[in-house]
Amino acid sequence: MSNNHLRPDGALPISDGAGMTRRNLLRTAGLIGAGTGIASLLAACGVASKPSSSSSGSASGGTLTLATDGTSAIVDPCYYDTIGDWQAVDCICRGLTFVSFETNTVQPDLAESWDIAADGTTYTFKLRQGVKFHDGTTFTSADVVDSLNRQFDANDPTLPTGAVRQIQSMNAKVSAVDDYTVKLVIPKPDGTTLGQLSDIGGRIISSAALKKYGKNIGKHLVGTGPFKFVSATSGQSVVMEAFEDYRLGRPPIDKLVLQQVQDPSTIINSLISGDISATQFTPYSAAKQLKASGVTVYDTPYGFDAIMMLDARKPVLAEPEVRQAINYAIDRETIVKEAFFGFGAVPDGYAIPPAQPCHDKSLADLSTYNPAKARQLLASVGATGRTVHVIAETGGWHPAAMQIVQQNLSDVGFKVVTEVVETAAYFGRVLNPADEYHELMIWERNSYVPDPDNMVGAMADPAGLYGGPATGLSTLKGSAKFTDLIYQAKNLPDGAARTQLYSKIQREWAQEYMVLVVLAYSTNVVAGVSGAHGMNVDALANDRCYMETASV
Amino acid sequence: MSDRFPTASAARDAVALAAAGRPWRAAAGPDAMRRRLASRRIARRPIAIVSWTVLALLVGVAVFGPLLVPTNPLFQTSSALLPAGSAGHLLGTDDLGRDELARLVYGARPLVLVSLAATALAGLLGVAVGTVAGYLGGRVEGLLMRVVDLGLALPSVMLIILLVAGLGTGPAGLILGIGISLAPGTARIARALAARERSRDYVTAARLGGARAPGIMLGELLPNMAGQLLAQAAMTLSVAAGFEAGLSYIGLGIQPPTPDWGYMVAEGQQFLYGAPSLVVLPAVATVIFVVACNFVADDLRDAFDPAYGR
Repeated sequence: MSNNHLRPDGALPISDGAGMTRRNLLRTAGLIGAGTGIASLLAACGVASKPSSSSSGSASGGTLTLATDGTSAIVDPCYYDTIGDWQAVDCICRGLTFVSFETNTVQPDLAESWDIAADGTTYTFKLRQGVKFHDGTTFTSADVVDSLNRQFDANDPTLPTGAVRQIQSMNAKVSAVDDYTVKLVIPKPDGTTLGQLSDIGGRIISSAALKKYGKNIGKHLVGTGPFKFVSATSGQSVVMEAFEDYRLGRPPIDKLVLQQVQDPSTIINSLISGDISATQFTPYSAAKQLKASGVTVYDTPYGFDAIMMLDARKPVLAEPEVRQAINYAIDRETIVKEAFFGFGAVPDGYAIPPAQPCHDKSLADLSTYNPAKARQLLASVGATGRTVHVIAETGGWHPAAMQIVQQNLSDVGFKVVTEVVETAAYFGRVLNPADEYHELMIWERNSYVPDPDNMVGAMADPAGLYGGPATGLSTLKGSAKFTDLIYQAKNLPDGAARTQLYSKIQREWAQEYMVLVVLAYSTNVVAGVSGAHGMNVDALANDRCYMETASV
Repeated sequence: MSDRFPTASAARDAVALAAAGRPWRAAAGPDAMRRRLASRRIARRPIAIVSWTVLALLVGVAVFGPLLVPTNPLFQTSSALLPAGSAGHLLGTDDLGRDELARLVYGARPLVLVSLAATALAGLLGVAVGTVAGYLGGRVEGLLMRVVDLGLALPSVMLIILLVAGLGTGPAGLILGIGISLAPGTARIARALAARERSRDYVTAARLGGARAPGIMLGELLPNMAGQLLAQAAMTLSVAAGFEAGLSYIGLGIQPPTPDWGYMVAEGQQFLYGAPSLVVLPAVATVIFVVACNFVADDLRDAFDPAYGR
């Protein structure tokens, strides 16, 4: 009797496995293993399967597929799980203001204009008329009030479980003056208010949709942006289509797909084959190979800091001399060369990268490589031979930088224990001072709004996450002064006085406390197939997604 | 009649042996002979010879690696991603300028040592539980085997990840996590073997000769179960090696900068096009080790249980 069964649909027979002995299986596995190795070698030698022709798109229509880090399928300005989810919000909803990242100035978007009262606490926005939501309703002040109140009112019934209210710290009160005028009152003047309203938390959702879907709005997001939400599948993709009535005109592409692609080699292969049109998650190591394969790799300004946070509460890092020694020990040129493959720069302005206002090269000495000085400082407090722990997340440049840091610290007399931590668990450990390895933590700070307050304000404020749980700056004597200084700095207009104040803050922050080592400046490397045009790559390099003029 | 008790004829034979002044161990004669015969059947087939040789070589590399390659596998240089055949670097360098040959040689250590230790732990726990359950039977067996069933019901990968997350990354966490999670499989085999052996004449003879349960299990049962347990251990070794490499690949195992084949694959995959050897060499080495363990397990099983068929 045959060991094979015929499928009811008459398709190929399926073996029941009776003829496959364990030894045969092992032999087959061995052959497959060897075959895989050979296939990898062939692929590496350029004998990979022929790329598809999807890179030769037309000027209009078609689908643009962006590779992202992931999606939870909850697309809501009041929720954060992945950058991909926020990129989808970027495409679907827009706010009262807009920062393109091609220029760092705040522009009107759904607000036509605004007035700021003399006391600096009351903003009156005149709204743009005739703007349509994707559900056909017309944009009015009620939509602004309902959308922003979700950020400021923790009891708003439309907030999803696990809501992240990104601009809640503004503590604003929003009210409608008339159908097209909105008043926003904040407790005290804040020069970054307009910039913050351009961020994800300031996006406007259709009131009708909020009423209809309530806390499930994340699965049915309705905005005024260039793309309409179609579907989202957790761990796979978010699909959007062009909005015919977008206020600046229909986008050239028909469909925009944000596809989760996490494996670096898959990103590379997909870019070469054209299966994805573009991404900002390009592995640094692959840029040269991608260029050689006809993929466009964009030069974007260095907008993020690669950093290492030092927990000043830990006994091994208690003396400022030890923390300064760590700062002197780091060979940043090697980090730029080997962890970022040249896509970066040695920090010459401490925490404010070159892409932002107030970048000041007079702070270059705060990131000096001087191992002799490091050894001397360690010896001066008898800390030579001390054991320190370094953690980094598993992906991207982080593990390589961690190993360079390990080598650098060993060279000046530390004993170093390292650990890589799965990305999803990493930030939780950074925010947990009780963690055994909570001493030196490698991380990055991106410019979600291109303003120095988003860097210095976020990281040097003792009341913030970086200054509190991450580094323990708040526990160090005299650090409270930074709260006031940062407040003053963010309320100054861009210019020499503002730069001077931010530089003063950074110098004192570094020289007196040294809880943050800036390892490098870099950018998320944006790569796209040759047929993709019109993407805002500067925004994409900052994890923002403005694709209204893109074509494939 | 329960198979806990010997048949009447077997008991009579045992009593006769004891009355004749012969020690009960004489009853184990055929098994001892079987073991001697089995040892002559090991590594007779070409595939078995190759597998034993490869396994011995890899263990040798793990143990004597530092003597073979004096270069420090942790030493970073400014010569990153040199191709194979470069001066001073036979297999080139990795992205941090470290000698790839040294990392490959030293990288064998965690795989071999962790998987051997985890296998030993799984064997110790599994054989102890399985032998006690199989020999004593009854409620003890029921209780122990339900615990074993519970361990088997949980997916191994999930169990190991939970254990490693709780015990910490690094060799100790890996050994405990992998060893504990693989112990139930060994316990089941050991229980079956012990249950089979307990009704044999030599066990009856030992019991009638006054030996107590621990002595019978250690002195009589285990030597007669050893061959098949050894085959099971070789199989467990291959599974443990796979888990070690997999956990290190996802960052839960051996931590960088310590060289480890699993983590080297993870680190190297971004260079698959530019420097494929960074991925291919540790990946192929891991596959070779795992497959060799499987063939060795096959060979041991065939040697100790010829009835299984070739």
